[in-house]
Amino acid sequence: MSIPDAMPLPGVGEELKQAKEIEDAEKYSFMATVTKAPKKQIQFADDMQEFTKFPTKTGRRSLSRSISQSSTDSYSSAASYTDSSDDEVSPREKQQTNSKGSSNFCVKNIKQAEFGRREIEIAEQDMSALISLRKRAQGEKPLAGAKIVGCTHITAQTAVLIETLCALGAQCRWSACNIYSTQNEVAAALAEAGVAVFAWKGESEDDFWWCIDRCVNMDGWQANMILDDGGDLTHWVYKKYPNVFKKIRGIVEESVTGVHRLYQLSKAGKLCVPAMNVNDSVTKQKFDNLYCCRESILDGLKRTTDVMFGGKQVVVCGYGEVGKGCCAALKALGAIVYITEIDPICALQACMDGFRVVKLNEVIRQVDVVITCTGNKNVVTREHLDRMKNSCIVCNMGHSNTEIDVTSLRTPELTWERVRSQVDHVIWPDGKRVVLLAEGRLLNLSCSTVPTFVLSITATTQALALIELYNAPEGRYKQDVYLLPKKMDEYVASLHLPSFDAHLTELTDDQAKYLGLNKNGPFKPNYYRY
Amino acid sequence: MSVQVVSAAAAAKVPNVELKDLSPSEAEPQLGLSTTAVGAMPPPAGGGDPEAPAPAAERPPVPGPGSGPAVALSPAAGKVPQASAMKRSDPHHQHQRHRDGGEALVSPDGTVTEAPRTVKKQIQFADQKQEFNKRPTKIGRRSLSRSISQSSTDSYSSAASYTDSSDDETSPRDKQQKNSKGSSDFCVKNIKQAEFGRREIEIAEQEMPALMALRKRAQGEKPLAGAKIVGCTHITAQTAILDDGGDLTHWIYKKYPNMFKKIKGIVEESVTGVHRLYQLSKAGKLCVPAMNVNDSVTKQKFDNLYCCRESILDGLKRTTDMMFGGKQVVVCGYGEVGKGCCAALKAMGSIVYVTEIDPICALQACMDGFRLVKLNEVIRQVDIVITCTGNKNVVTREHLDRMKNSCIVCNMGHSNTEIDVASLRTPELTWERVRSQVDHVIWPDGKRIILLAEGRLLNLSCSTVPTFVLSITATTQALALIELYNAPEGRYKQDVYLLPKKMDEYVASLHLPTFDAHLTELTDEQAKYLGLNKNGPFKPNYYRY
Repeated sequence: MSIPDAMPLPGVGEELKQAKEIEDAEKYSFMATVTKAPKKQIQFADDMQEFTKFPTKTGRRSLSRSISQSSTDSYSSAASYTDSSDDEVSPREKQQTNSKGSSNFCVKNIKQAEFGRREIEIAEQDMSALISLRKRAQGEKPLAGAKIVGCTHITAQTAVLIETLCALGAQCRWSACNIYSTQNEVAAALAEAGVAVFAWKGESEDDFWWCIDRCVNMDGWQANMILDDGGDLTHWVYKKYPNVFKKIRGIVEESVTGVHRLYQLSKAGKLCVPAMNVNDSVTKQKFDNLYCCRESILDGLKRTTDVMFGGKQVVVCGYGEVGKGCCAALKALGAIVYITEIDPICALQACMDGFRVVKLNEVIRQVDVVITCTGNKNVVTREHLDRMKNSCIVCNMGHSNTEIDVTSLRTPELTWERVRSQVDHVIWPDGKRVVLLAEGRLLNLSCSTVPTFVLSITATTQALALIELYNAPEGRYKQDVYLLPKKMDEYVASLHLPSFDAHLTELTDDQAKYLGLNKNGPFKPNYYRY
Repeated sequence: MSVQVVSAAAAAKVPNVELKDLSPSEAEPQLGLSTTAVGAMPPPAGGGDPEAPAPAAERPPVPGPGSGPAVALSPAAGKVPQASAMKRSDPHHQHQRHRDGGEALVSPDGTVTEAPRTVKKQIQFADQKQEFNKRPTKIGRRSLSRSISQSSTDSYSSAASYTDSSDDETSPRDKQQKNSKGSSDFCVKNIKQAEFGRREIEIAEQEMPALMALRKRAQGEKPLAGAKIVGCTHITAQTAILDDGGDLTHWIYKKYPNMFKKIKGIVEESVTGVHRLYQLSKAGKLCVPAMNVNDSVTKQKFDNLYCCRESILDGLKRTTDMMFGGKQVVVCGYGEVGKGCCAALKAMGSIVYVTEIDPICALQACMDGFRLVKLNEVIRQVDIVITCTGNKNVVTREHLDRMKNSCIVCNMGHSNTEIDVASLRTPELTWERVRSQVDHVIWPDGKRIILLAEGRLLNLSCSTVPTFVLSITATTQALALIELYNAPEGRYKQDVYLLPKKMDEYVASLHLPTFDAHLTELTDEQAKYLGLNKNGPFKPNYYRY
């Protein structure tokens, strides 16, 4: 997707657009095949280089948007009714009104609202943090007067977020940050509930920008907050309606790509409102990486291969948050786990956690499973693949599709056999087979699901960032990019504790004084590592 | 290098309770006071006793190559990182004066007393504490690097005997001693003990492979050639150099300020000393660069997580011989120490509950599979209560009253404040010392509570600190010295720096061979792809590991 009339902001070049696509592709594996034109595939690795100059292991992955894609893959139960190709008329041409007579929206089919409502209710079950935030803030309405323009994936989970923002007093206008990810029935349910939503699945590029424009450009309504995912909305406002920024109190940005764009703007001195980077909050990072991958590695491998883990020899490349999660899960099931690392600190952690640190070629002949989670490229090369034993499973939990050199397997002497969805057997002339999962793309997105609980963490973080920016006293935030304040980060965590029936201890006055802390936090300095 | 300066500073270990005041004018009374305290001490219990009256000179010259702190790197070790330190804007947040309070001295009869310097002050203890805890509590709180001396003098240690020569009541300052080479440029208790000491050092060398590796590479480059290092640390088999606690720095500031004109940098290891440096820096009085090695990632992980993960089991076993399987344990606090304790106990089959005040750590506990409770919800049912909060009065008399018979209570966290032991000193309760470090406190109805180490740090009183952990610290210090000494003019200003990430990584890499761990190297192509240097640093400064 490129910007219609190319007029890149300083530092916001085409490469950033591609980075966002890659980021999306990480989250939406099916899109990697859909949106990436084949000719672009070749540039892929090179494009990437531009973007990995910023942090590689943290902030790299943001799963909050991937539920919709999981819900469209072949394992999902809820994949059917959004695929209604009943209607070839563009939503832009249609005249639709909701039951209250409003036409202030544009969705595929308003009649799907009831289905969508059911989806939203299901999501609410696992997003109790947002629900309790609604209850707690019902009285004071911390977002009263806020006019939020949003551009995110439109899924049942974001719907819960949007309706929470409304319940807290905000007015919302919403568009989709991705042309494929919208759940049409959820968009319809939002429209029925009175949210001005402009999104449908399968938008054209022109539709995409039209939807964003409709959100921003409305007579008698001017946004004062932006919630963005990818930076497209922010970019559009900068380009088309710079005056809007006079009233904007802040931008909340969720994606790595969007955050990077904001930092570039800030560096160029062109950021004229405060912005909050919610991607790097502690709670969100832990859930996106460590906790999520700890579960999805087992799930992904089981669903695709039905492998038993006990006694299997597994090599995990990379011992960052994702690697730590994978190793913990595999060890718990009795697998024998080896680690490869390039960073001596992480390597030492692996040693102390009881894993053998090896180089890949030392164990490649003997292992049953190879898992990559390095964020790097060509970690598993053709040479490694040649030396693997028969029926070795190879998969990627890390970054895009660069870690395994899959291209090198597209040679005439090798036979590819698709044995089931997401599972390929690559067969050597001597009959040896390597089991390649998801063609080297992210296993946890292709072959597993992202739990709603993880998305709840993200959505709650976004809601609190909006509240913080909107209510901050004049001067607390300047024209810069901020991390979510520690206290808010802690609040996100505390809102999720009830789902574990967890009982947090409170400091006594005496203890708080002794520690020099406020009883309500923040409890740690910013550099604390958790 | 002035021996007088060094030894005087060492003898002048000021009571930590007074460290908060750094103004030179106040130093004199402190020094006087502590000198008295040192003089009043019983004979030192063990060779490494940091409070031993033996003035701490630089390590006596010893025969053989590789002696002394100087380490150097051969060209083969071309990976020695050169990187700028991250300047920490956030001053050191945990001044842990009471780390020392938590260190117990074990006298020859096996009884434990607080280090003499804090004895008199015991009563003011808790109140004074408040001055120092206006900063966060869970990191930087513990530094075990000085505790080996205690461990090696406690009753469990095998190596506690031979330095305990109370043969001589003469102050070392009044003695004339010479080493075998005829030098008198030292002042120690008894030069004749050198051979025993050498054996201790050799044992330690076995477990400090990283430093030995550094030495091996010392043939060529000699990165500290020309460096004149004055040090003030615990003089144990493992240490040799630097300032630990800030007393030496303080002394030089006070007595020989001109010396700072020639000083290239200060390397400080303790929480206390780091805090003093930050105060100096804040007051604009720091006139040389200083490096805070306490907060390096590798050191922090080993001091807290890894060390406590082992010592909790060790400490409980040695004192109580209990079995862990199926026992219900409540761990108060889920910071690095709490995480370590919980992991170890879970692995032994215990049922572990956690209490927390910080919702983020609480959520981590939940996700790690521990029930998060308030202490009073489980206090009646648990078999063991372990505190590691850094807080005070986490376990109160009320909790103790409600515990079940033979419940074990111990502290892994901070000094002796976490369990309100003072509240147990009431007439209706009977104290029974059943073995070293183990008290039974008996209620009128016959209920017994098993209190370990009188509420002081279990891992220091009843377990040992592995030399491997100390090796991490020592290597970190050596590399910090090398970095400061070799840094080009202007890289470090008059401020307090963290060890550069690259050096931190180098410390870790020097310890990998112990595990026969084979680090993968980036290819040129991969390094370019990641935008990294092949030799590190590999992570941004904010990375949490």
